[in-house]
Amino acid sequence: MKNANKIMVRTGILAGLIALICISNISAFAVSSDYWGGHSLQLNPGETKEFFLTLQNLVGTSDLRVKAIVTSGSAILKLADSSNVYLVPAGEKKNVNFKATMPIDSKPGQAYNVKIDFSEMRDSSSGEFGFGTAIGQNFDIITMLPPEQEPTGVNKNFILLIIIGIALIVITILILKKTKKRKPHKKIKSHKKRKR
Amino acid sequence: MKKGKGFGGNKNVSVFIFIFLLLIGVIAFGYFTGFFGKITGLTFTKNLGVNITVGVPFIWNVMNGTATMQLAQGPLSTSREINFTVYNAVGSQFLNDSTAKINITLVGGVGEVVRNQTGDCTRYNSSTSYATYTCNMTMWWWDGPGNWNISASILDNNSNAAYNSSTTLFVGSTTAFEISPVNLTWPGMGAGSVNQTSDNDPMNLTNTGNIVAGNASGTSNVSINATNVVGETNNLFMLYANNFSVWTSTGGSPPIECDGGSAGNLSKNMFANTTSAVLPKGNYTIGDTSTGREQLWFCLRIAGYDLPSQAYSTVNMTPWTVKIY
Repeated sequence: MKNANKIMVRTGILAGLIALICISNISAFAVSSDYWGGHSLQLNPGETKEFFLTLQNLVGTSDLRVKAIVTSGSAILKLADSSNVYLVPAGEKKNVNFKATMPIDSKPGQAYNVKIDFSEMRDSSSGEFGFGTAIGQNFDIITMLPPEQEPTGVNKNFILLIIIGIALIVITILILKKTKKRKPHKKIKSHKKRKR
Repeated sequence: MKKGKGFGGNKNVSVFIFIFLLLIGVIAFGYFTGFFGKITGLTFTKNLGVNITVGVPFIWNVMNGTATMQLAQGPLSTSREINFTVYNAVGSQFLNDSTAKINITLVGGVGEVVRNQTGDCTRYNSSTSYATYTCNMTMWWWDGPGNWNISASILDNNSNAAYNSSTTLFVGSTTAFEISPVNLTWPGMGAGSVNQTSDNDPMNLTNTGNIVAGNASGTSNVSINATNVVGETNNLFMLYANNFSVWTSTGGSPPIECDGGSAGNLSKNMFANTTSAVLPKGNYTIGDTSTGREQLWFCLRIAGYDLPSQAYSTVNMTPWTVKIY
């Protein structure tokens, strides 16, 4: 029991002193992106797109080291930088470059979910029970639907209307011919009636 | 006389029928254009005339198309210039500069704020009939991501209005948060102690971005990756990560953050979802405890009976990590 009390006191005092020194520290960074859970990246089968996400350390007073890892969907999304650890100076931004390649055999509308973790790399000092922060980015990369065939509607309909017009003219001519043929019969009949 | 009249009458009738059918053809052209378009999906080009009444202003260009921007993390604001050009046939000098205005609204953004910019637009360029205005738009870290409609408007000196809402501004997502404090402390405790809560929590989480973290399905969440807290003198002894727990409130007996419910237990080197945590977005500078904020309370549920007297810390391990997703 005495031994237990000693543990209690030493641990408590040491932790308390460290806390007073470090209590004002704030951990803060940000990740900006054109893609998120509700806004996907759309690519054609076989298409490759390079884009970037931006790390912000605009409000911090010290430089940050941030590690980026593609934790899901690494088959189609890869980091395009030589190192996955980024130094973001206080008050500045840093781009993290990616390359996404849609599989050639992907079907239209097929979605690939990708996840990227950005973790602050932070060391603890003696006596600290320290915390860091991490931000997960999660979005879909979707195979685009094939573009709708632009119909050559004007030409096709124009031809169709010409055909209709010709048909109308032909019908008109036929009606005219029939009308001409019928007229003499009527005249003969009227002559016969007169003779009687 | 009758013969001639009869022949001539037939000819007239034929011509009449011919013209009539042609007229039907012409009328049918218009009808079938729409009809075939509907049943076949084929499209026709239609030219629409636009009448601009002389003397009324007309906004013909906003931003030269779509613009994009990323917001700075809180508590910073982000400014963006938006330009629009007005045509006034009777002369740009008759435009009322003080009425030049820009509104932006997030498309489909329920609960999002409509930004009204009045008075920040200034004329920076003009000719006989054209005037270009530049408006300084300020956005804040909690403004939602997506396409914002830009509405530009102006009046002339006779109160004739010009209005244009054909352009959008794309705002990307900014995922960001702060934690404070970044070190936790516990009061002195003995080996075998149970349900010991931190004495400098809660840990305050502040959303400094425009994405909400945490939902009922867990697809978005606040999670914690724990490591063992190791003895600094003798690193063979440690406080095990899975003996710690966390919750978004405190109080009760035992304290709710120590309650041992599986939802709040932590695991070594694994991000454990704090299911009760939701980190909303908003203007946290108003100073309440809920807008853009969440709180975490920590507990050491049991300290091993065999632990010697020494300092325990994360110095020999990686620090714990709070992640939003």
